[in-house]
Amino acid sequence: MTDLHCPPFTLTTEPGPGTVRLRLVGDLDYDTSEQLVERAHDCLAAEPGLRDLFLDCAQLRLCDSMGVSSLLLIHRGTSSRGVGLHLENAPDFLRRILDVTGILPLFVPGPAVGETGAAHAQDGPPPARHETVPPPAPSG
Amino acid sequence: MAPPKEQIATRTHQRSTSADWAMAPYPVLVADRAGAVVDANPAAVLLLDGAARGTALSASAPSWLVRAHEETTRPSRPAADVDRQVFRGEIGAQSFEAHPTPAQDGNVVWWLVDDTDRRLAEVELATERERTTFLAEASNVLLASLNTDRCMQATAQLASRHIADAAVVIAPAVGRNLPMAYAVGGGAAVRGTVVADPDQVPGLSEALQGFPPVPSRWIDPATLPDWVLPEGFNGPVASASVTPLPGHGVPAGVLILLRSTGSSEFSESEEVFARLFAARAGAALSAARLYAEQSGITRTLMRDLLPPRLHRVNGVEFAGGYQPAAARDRVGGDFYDVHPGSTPDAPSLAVLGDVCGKGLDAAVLTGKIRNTLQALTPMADDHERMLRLLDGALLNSHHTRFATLVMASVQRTGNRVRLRLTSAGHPAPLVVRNDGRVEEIDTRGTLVGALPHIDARTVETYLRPGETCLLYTDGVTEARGGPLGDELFGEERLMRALAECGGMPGQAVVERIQMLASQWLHDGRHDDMALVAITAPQTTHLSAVDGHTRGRYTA
Repeated sequence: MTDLHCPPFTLTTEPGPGTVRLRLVGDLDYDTSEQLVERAHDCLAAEPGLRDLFLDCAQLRLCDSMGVSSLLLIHRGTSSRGVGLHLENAPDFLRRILDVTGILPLFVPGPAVGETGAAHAQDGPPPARHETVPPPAPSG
Repeated sequence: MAPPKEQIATRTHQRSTSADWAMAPYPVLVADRAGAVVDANPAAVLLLDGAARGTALSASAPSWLVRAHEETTRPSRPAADVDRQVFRGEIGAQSFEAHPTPAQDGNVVWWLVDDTDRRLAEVELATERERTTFLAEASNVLLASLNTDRCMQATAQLASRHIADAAVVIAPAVGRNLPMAYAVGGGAAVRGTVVADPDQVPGLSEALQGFPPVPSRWIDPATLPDWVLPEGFNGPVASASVTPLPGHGVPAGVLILLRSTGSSEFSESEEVFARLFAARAGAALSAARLYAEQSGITRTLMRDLLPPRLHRVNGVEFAGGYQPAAARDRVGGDFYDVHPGSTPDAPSLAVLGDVCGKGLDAAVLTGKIRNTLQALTPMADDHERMLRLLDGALLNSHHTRFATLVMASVQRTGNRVRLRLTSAGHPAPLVVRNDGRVEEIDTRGTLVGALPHIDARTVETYLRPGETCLLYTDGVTEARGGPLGDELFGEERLMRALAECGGMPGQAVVERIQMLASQWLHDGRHDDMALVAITAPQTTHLSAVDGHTRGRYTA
């Protein structure tokens, strides 16, 4: 059974300028996937200027079919708003699941557009959008 | 007579004042050996009207007190014994304890203590305890069974033993039949069915509807139709009540209580008690009914959704194996089907898939996928098109439940079997060749049911006699166990196991892989595991093997 000192799934949210990063720790499965979907949708709703949503999977231990389903539901939300959905530090097992199920292309490869800052030039001056972002910004 | 009287008067005078007698909160009475009243305080005079000095005790006291006095004053009786004895009886409407204390000269002082309230409280407490015990017992008996028939019988039996002389339980009508159970005097209940109009019993129809809730009501025993009176119930009915059995939002039934002329009528507290019992019985009955409905649904789903037994179709061996995750979830998320070709030469379509999630949601989606695919079999020559149509049928705006599946069009050509394989987000099929090589078929595609656009690539291959193509779900490769208990069975282990299965019949391949996966698991929990083996039969002669297909030349 689950170790008491180690909750099955925890989520932390790190907002940045035009980005939100969700850190996924533990098992993403039948019991916990709804939590991730709700949090992601809350982030999308709370920040209309969001460009990129990052899912940091470095400490993800497991992802079952309901976990995949939750990723698909989040993708549905981000793609309809034009938000880039990124998977970071995806462990091999997750990469394999996404590869076999044919949904790896749904996730934006490489570093975030919003984080490199390079793509902002085309969309007009970024500071205007950044005003809506809460102050603690880890990077530029 | 006179001397003792004087003595008493003197003594009491010596010990206290006669005012104390008058002030005593209890009636006090002194009587001599002969049974005459020697003295009585005002409280005693008030209680025992006419208990005057010199009169016989029997003239004013009730007979139990007179007998108690006679017993106490019997000459043989040791005085020490008298002190401890307490007599009880009623005077008027009240209940008293009479405590005798002997005086020196053989007179007896009677202290009368009114214990009416205590006695009433004791009786009430005993009744209450008895009822609590009964209700607890009733709950145990009723909840022990999730069988509606037994539950109805238990309700009737318990009610006829503790609440009424006879009890009839009537369940909501099934068509025109009214299921009922009745019991008389706590005897074994009889279960039966009557074809009758519930309107014949006042209040029965309303109570059977369950909603809006109706209170229990008394009905005129004369209006009761014969079918309500249980067999073995003697004599006319003196009182009858109709009490609804409240269920969880569904009508659970009605309890009819009957008392014969020999018994007392229902008191108010008995009515409350009957309602408490009815609440328990109703809860148990509706739980039993809900359970019966649910298990009925599950049975129906299971019958339809359990994977079929596979066999040889149009000269190709098909074998399937399915191990659900847990016995209680008999309807799992894995499925497989083989749809035979419309003619012996036409390709058959084998499908194996895995639906995300578990339980009823997964079962419903599984059913939908299997039905859709069956309807789409005429276009099985184009797997990608079929998958697109399936994807469109499954797409849903409010969830992303998906399925992964692998399709195989299977056609016997000569002694070989032609396979067209397409994976839709599913682990690739494996083929074991006669030389022991295991090939992973390089078909790839997107899962179905969650995305508006999907891709799929179909790959063609041939099986020579004895070669097998294995379709499997990830429950097999993700079986967790092994020597360390936490290692995945994995694809490589599966491929190595399959390499030893070259030339084996399909059924043997399935059983071997199932056995190895089970051994790997020990007793660990696992996901659904489904396997389908498609095998080109080992034949060296004309293959009218099963006597049905026409013979063909094989190598």
